Amino acid sequence: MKLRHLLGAAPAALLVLTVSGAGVFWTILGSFGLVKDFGKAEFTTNYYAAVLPSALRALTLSLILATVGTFIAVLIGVTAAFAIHSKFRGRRFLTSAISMTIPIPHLMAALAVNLLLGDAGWLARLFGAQPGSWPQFVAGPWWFAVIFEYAWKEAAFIALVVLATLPRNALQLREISQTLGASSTSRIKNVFIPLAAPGLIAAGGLSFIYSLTSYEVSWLLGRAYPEPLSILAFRLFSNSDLLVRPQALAASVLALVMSLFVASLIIILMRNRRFA
Amino acid sequence: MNQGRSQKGPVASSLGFFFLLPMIPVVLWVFANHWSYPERLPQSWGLHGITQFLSEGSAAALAKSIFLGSMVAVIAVPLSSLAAASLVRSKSVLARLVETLIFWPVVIPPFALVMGLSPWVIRLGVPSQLAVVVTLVVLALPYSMFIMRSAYARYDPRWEEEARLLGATRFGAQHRVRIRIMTRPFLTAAAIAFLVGWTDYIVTLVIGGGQLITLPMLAASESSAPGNDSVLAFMSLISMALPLIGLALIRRNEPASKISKNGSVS
Repeated sequence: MKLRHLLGAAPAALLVLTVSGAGVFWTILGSFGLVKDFGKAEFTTNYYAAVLPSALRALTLSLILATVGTFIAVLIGVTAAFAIHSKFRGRRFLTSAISMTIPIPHLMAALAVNLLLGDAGWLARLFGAQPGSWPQFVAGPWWFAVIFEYAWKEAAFIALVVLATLPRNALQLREISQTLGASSTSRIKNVFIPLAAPGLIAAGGLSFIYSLTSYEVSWLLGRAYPEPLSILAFRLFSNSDLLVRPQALAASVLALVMSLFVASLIIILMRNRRFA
Repeated sequence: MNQGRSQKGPVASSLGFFFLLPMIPVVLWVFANHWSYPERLPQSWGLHGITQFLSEGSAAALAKSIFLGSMVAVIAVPLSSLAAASLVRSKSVLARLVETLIFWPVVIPPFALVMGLSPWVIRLGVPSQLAVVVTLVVLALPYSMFIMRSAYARYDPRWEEEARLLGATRFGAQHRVRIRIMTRPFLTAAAIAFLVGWTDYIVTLVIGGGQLITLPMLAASESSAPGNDSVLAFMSLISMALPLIGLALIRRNEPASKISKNGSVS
């Protein structure tokens, strides 16, 4: 009876199990040299040993980019959700600006950021920068354009999720707290943020995981060295030397472990909130 | 709150401006026939970018992007709807496990997934375009599942019983109550699944093996050559505008936008 009840979930579950199982399992096996498609089949941890120094450096960079990008995105996203929820003037304009940002593919968004911030970008033109004097936002040492792209796209996503997951009585609760004399800071800190927290943690976590493992944004807007983990993994994967490809798989396993770790943190955070 | 509103106007408007800012140079470039460096605005306006886009056969890439997004939505939405409907009321450990399984692709780095999948696709001789669709469905399922699950969690079967009590037939109750209430979450889930296909780059690149040239694939290859700014800007613009136009058209014909306010994610 119970099993029959779960039958409806079977198609989706089996599809996920087959596709993600085959993909991830093969990546893990291959990283230990056990898959013939990637070189010869023989158990070894050499690929990890070979890739680890550069992979850890790349992971650090990925973590920094994802942390800074997500942090800014959360700040902007929550402020935007608050402004829309509070019916600030201009909220319709803000709402449509957010819904326009959502569908742009990251790759196209990165191209747009380049047209804005690049050497010959629109801002450089507006400020009348002499050739060579414009700060290196794109492909510069501070990864400014990459972080800007994450902050821009993910802020829209976070605002949307927060607004969609606010409880239906959120507005009444906020009005009651105002009637009871709460200051505006206290209304944000003690009423709005706790109401928005579940959506915020979920959306912020997803944004973090996305930017941790994203490829195309750093590829278009970043610099060649140092490289984030996704770029490193992909560069090794495209190497024609079959003995290098398992190193790409080892770097991918490292990314997978990191993103599982982050996901468990998010789940723990959400559980604690629910039972607090 | 009322007195504060007028002063808070700049907050919402300046945030809105921030979100639109990167699209300003895009729109300018779309209509720029000639725009050399220090000039703040294009020196000559026109539609070269658009005509170049059409003459290059980029419309085929656009069609493939639309097709890819639609296929992902058409497969992912019924699968997640079925799964959500059967899992939402069950409290068993098995149900929770199955649910976790469906959500888990969200944490897989796409490149870790596609690297391991690509030898399978070749070995089993799966047509690469089909493999891209199936992989993207798996990546879209967590999102559409999330929407459908919260919609079913809010859905109260007693609404249908009430309709039956008021004299509706079983079919009538299902048609007038359930389908209308679930229209909005259905569309939301479909829109999100569509966007997973529409915005993808890495799965199409590795699993597609260059066989499936979607809009992001084309943009990626054109971005390495200089002088393509106008046509790239036009690609960015349609990649933003097209899903919005589609959604607006669907929403306009949606039968139950008022009813759904009571029972679904907005």
